[in-house]
Amino acid sequence: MHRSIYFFLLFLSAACEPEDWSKPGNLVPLTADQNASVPSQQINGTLLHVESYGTPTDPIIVVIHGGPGGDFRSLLNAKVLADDGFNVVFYDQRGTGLSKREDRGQFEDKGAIDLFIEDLDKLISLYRFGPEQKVFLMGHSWGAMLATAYINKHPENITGAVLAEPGGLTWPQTEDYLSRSNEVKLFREAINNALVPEAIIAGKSQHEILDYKASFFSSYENAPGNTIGNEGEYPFWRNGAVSSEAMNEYADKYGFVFTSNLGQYTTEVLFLYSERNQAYGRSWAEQVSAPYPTVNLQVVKNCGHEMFYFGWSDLYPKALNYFNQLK
Amino acid sequence: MKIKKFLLIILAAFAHCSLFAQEVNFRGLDNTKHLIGVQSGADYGSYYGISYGYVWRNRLTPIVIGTEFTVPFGNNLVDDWKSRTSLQAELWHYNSFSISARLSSTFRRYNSDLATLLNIGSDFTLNVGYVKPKWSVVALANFDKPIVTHVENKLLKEYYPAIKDGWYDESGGNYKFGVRGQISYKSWNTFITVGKHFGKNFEDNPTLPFFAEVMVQRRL
Repeated sequence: MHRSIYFFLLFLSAACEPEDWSKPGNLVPLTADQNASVPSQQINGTLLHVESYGTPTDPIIVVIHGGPGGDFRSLLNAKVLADDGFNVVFYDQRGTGLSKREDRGQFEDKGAIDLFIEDLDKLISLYRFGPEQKVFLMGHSWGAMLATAYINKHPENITGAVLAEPGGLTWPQTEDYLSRSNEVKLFREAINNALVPEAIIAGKSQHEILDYKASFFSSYENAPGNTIGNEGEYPFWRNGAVSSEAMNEYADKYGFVFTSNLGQYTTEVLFLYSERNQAYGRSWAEQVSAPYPTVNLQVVKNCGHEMFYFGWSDLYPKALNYFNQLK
Repeated sequence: MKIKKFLLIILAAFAHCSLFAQEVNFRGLDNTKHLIGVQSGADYGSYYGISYGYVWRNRLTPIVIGTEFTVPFGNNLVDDWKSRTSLQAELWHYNSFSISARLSSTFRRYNSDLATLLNIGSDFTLNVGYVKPKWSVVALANFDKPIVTHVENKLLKEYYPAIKDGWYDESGGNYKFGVRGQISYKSWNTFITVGKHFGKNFEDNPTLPFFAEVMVQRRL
C-alpha cells in the first residue's frame, strides 16, 4: 500500500515537473546540428540549412531571406522556378532559421558582414559546376541588401539579380527606412503583442529562449494596420534572435556601404517594391536603386513588404520574365 | 470547455484582486483606512489600471495591504492584464528620511494570435527617500520575478507542431531602478514614477528601456 502511494506521488511529481524554456525542441524547432533530418551543408565553418530544387546543371537562383535573423520558409513559393529550368537554392543564413546557432561574437566582429558574403560565396561555389553555369541572386529585404553586398564585391560571379525592397544599400539609408517602417505606436495592440512577453521572459541568455521571445517581437510588423502593408502573419521556422540583435548593433557601430563598386555592374537588375508598403514606394525605390547603372523598377501589386508570400502571383511572372531574358 | 476555462481565469483574477496594492506615503496616512487610485503609464507597452489599499494599523507599524489591476491600451481590452497583490510597510525612518519595502505576488496574462501565456510571479520593491506629510521623493529598486508560466501556443503550433505546451519553470526577471515624486492636496495624492529597467543578466534588456507611471489616489 505504502509503495503504491510512493509510486503515485513519484508519478505526480514527475507529471508536475515544469518544462525547461531552454531545452532544445521545446519551443523552437531543432536546428541542423541537432536534427540530422534537416537538409544541411557544412559551409565556411558552420552548418547551414540548405534546400535545392531543380536540375543541378541548370542556371542557379540563390534565394536570400530577410532579417537579419529571418529564414527562407516564407520564400518557398520561389521553388516553382525549378519547373522553369532553374536550380533554385535556398539557405538559412548563419545562426538563424534551421542553421546552426553561432556565438554572438561572430556577429559583433568588424568582419561580420564579410562573413555573410563569404558564406554566400562558398554556397555558390558548392552548387556551381563551373564558370559557364549562370548564377542569379534573388533577395528579399535584408536578403536584397546582402545580394547587393555580394555583387559589390564579386560582380563577375552574378548573371543577374532580383532585389525586393532592400531597406537601403548604406546604413544611413537603412536607418532612414527603418525609422518609417518600424514606427512605434505606443497605444496600439501591436505593441502589447510584441513587448508584453518581455515582462514574463526576461534576462536570460540561452539562445532557445531568446529565439522564442523573438517570435513575439517579430509579430509587430504584421499586426493589423502595420506600415509595411503585410496582410498578417507568415510562417517561419526560427527567428535567430542573437544574430538579428547583434547584426543591428554591428550596423549601429560600424555602419556599411554596399555601393562603392556597383558602377561596375552594368547588367540590368530587377528592382521590386510592393504596392502596399507605405514606408517604401516608388520614390524610395528609385533612391535606393540609383547606384545600380541599369535598373528595371517594377511594383508588385496587392501586397506589402512580404511579397514572396502574399504577392507571389504578381511577383512570379515578373521574376520569370527577367530570368528568362538573361538565361 | 473554453467558457469554463475563461470563468476560471476571471475568478482567479478577481480572487487575486480581493487584496490590494498601492503607492503609499507613510507620513501622510493620518487616519486613512482606504486608498483608492487610478493609474496610467508605460511599462512593456502602455497601460492603465485601478488600485486599492487597506491600511492595517497594528502595534508595530502600519501595513498597507494592496492590489492593482492593469490592462494595456489596445483594441482587445482583456486579452492581456496584470494583477498584483502586495504587503507594504515602512521599515525604518529618522525624521523625514524613510525606508519602506513592498513584497508582491503578480499574476499576468498575455494573449495574441501566436500564443497565450499565464504567469505567476513575485516582486520586491525597496523605497529609500525623503518623505514629508504633503510630499515625498524616493528612489526605488525593484526585482520582478516570473516564477512559473503556462504556455499555450496557437499560431506558433501551426508553424511548429512539435512545440510543447504546458507549465514552464522560472524565466529570469527584470530589475527596475527609478524615482517617485508625490504631492498631496486635501485628501488626494498624485504620484509620478519614472525609471529604467534591465533584464536580470543586464544583457537581455526590455525593448522599451524606460517605465513611467502617473497615479492619482484618494485617501478615505
